[in-house]
Amino acid sequence: MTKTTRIMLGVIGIVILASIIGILAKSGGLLGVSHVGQTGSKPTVIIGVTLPLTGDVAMLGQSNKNAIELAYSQLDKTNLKYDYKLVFEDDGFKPSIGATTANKLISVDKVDALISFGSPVGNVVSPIAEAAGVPHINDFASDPHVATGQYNYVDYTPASEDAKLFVQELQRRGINKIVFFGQQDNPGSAALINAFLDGVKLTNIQVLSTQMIVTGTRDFRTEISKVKNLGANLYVLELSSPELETVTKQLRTAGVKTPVSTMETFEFSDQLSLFEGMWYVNCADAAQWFVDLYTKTYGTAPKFGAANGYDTLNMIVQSVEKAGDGITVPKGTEINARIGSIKGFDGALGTGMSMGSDHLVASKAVVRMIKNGVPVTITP
Amino acid sequence: MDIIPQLIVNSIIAGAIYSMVALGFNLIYGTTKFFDLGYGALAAVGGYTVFYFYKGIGLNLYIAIILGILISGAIGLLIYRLVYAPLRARKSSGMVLLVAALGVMTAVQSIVAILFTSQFQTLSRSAGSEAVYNIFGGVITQTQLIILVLGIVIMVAIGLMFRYTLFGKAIKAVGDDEEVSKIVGINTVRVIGWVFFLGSAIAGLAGILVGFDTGIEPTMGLSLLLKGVIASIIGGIGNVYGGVLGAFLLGFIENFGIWQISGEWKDAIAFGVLIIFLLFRPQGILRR
Amino acid sequence: MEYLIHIAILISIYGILGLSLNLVVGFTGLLSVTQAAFYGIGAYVTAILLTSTGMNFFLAMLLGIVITAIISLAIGFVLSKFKDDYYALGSFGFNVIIYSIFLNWQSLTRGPLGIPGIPRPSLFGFTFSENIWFLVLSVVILGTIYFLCRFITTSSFGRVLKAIREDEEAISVFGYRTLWYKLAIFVISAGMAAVAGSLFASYITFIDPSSFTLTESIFILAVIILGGLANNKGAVLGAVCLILLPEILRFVGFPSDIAAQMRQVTYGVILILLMLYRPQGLVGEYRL
Repeated sequence: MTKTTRIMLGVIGIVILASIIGILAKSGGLLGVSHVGQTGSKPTVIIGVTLPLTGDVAMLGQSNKNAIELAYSQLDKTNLKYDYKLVFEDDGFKPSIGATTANKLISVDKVDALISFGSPVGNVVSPIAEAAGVPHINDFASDPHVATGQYNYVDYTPASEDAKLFVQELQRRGINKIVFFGQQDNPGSAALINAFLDGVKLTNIQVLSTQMIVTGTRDFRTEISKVKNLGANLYVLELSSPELETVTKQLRTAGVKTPVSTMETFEFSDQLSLFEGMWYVNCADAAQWFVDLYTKTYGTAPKFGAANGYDTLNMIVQSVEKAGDGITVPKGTEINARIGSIKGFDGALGTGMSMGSDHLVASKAVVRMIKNGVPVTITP
Repeated sequence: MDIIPQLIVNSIIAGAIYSMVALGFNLIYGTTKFFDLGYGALAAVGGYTVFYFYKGIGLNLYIAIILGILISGAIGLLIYRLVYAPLRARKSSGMVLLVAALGVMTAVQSIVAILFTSQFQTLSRSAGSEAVYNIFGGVITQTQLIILVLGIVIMVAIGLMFRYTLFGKAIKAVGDDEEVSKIVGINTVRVIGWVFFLGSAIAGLAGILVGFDTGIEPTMGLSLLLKGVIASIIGGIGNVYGGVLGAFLLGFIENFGIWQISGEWKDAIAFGVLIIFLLFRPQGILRR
Repeated sequence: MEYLIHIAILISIYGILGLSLNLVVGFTGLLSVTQAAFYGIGAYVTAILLTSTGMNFFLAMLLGIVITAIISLAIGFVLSKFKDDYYALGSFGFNVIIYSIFLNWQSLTRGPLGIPGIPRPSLFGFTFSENIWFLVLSVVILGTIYFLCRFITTSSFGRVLKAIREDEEAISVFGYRTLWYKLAIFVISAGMAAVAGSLFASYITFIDPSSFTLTESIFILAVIILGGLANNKGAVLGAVCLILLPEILRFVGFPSDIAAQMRQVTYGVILILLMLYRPQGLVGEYRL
């Protein structure tokens, strides 16, 4: 037993020592460099971002990060009252890791505001931000529950907006028989399908079948066989990449010529040519100048949700600037009051946006089409 | 019931992919008696090697494929020499090997992800323009046909090897009793090394073919492997023909299962079948 | 500070999971890889009762334990038919099936949308809303479970378990009904995992199926393999190490996009090295 105890004490000792060194090194206790603004004269406001840089949606998370860094690089640094510092953490889109990253950002990095990505992590971060009194904006949540509480906001088109426009467009085009493909373990997909089923109740549109698949599946041939002869005039794909492309290819291979459409998902894809000529509904449209700027900076087009990241950072910066006097960093409550009353905000997702009393930034959905491999908006 | 022919074709396609995985797995299990989970990650190694040489560097397709097969085989052999051989020499239990294999799988997958990112990639250069054949109202693509044919060819080749070559007989002897084989003068470490090379090369080939059919990603191995393991167990573990039989049986059960139930239960159906077989016929359909 | 408290709470929860699994894997020698399923059932029962009926947390936790115990009794009964590798594989299967149920029984679990807004526990009018008090609660529960495990493993019941692990046939010759012992410890272990689940649900305030996958079960297994099998202190030590490891790596300063993959590589390599050089873990008393 003495040997056991010795090993245990040894390991615990090493681990604790390593963590202390790690935390000290990070917070500048040993090196004494960080947390000082670039110019040294202005106080520094720290903004923490937790988003997925690994896992199934890493592509979207990376694009969101790029957009936030782009917004940061565009800040008019000389004329702002504060210096700003960004800290990114990877949560892999997993709620339990999101709790860790949010706690780390708040208590180790001492962030003044938080940005999170997606409903699962957002739902975990909200109560943590609320308890700490740190304003928190989620830029990718289809679940409005994330905006519960005084300090939590969502800057993302709600699923009900997409669904409303989608139903309108179906009626306008006289499409009345549709088949859904949904992703059983994807909260965004579930929220959109539920919102659609709510919105379609009083219309003559029939949902002939809803096929739910699980992330990681690569063989959809039997699901396709089941719906192939139902006589649908549209297939609606609420799937993320690569299930989206795989289902589309397997539909075509199976000889299905029927058009496909979606709420939101096509722009997940890096193979837009698969959807040539297809119309779909997307969350609020990113302005052309943003798409150009992003493409010029990173060499690829922004994934969807990126513009939300760009705007969210600017909203926070503007709110901090309004709340503070330039001498001390404003408190969470002060920043929060400014975020809650955002009005007439001009950003990548449009002009004159404002924060609703429900803590949601109301942005409108749009109908788009893939033309020559590029998304084009066809209704304002 | 015009859906039935397509369902049969779908089941055969799924079975063909599972059989590729089951073949290599069964070869390794039959000889060494342990569940090599690391085997799954080698499918990704094969797929990504071809991705690198074919789409990255622009090498000839066939050379890239051969390189993919050889490199996965070599890495399989390397892992055996570094990890499994010392463990086996020490008479570690099957569970120690299982946990070590889990470590191998995790590490290899992540290294692939660091080198190539975790993004899903397709191997074929021309998307969606593949030749398609119609069989009794069911649709099958050229790649799927190749998978089916290769699966049968490899099965027959391994069967013939066991029956007619000295090397095949040595593998069988090691699988039956390693100690006795050693005594009669078989270099067991070397024979098992070759088995790992062959098995891993088959895994690599499976990964490459799946890459041409749908696509590749670093984590593709685990789900492929689990299906291969289930196929081997229901068909008869350690039996070359049993693995293939089990693979097609699993293909049929899954596809007809989700025809009646719903697609999201596919994995649960596969594991449900596994548990039923483990309970009532643990030796599988064909005994070794 | 909040961050350290958060890490400490996670360690307590995984400590409970490690202790519970150690009873089955370490002391009884059954390689179960389905602990996340019981952890999840406990979490879901608590979450559903708390959000839909406003029941007291401790009552909900108790009901969670009861329901988990009933389900685990059935699963344990099936698993008791298997041995070694097959036991592990069968338990894999049950984890996949239970995960599918969490995901697909949407009317009850809300599927992928998860259950948000789970309240914190309260007792006699005091609510554990501050994390520091929640930590106190978790540590008290961890301590209780620790002493419970110590009591079980040092009792005559525990000695029979170890005897089953060493030689099941020999002990059954002495007239012990080993099936009942194996079932009893499996159910006790599942009940403890349910306690961890209740704590997790109420602490994080949001649960969805992604927290209860096969990978999570493998992680819990890694906790006890690293810490040491058949040693209660080892289970807690393993949780300390594996929860802190990624946090330390967070501060090392890898670029954040490869940091997560580096964690996975480290974790895989640790498993391999342990199996090669120290298969009993840091302080373990039993080798797999």
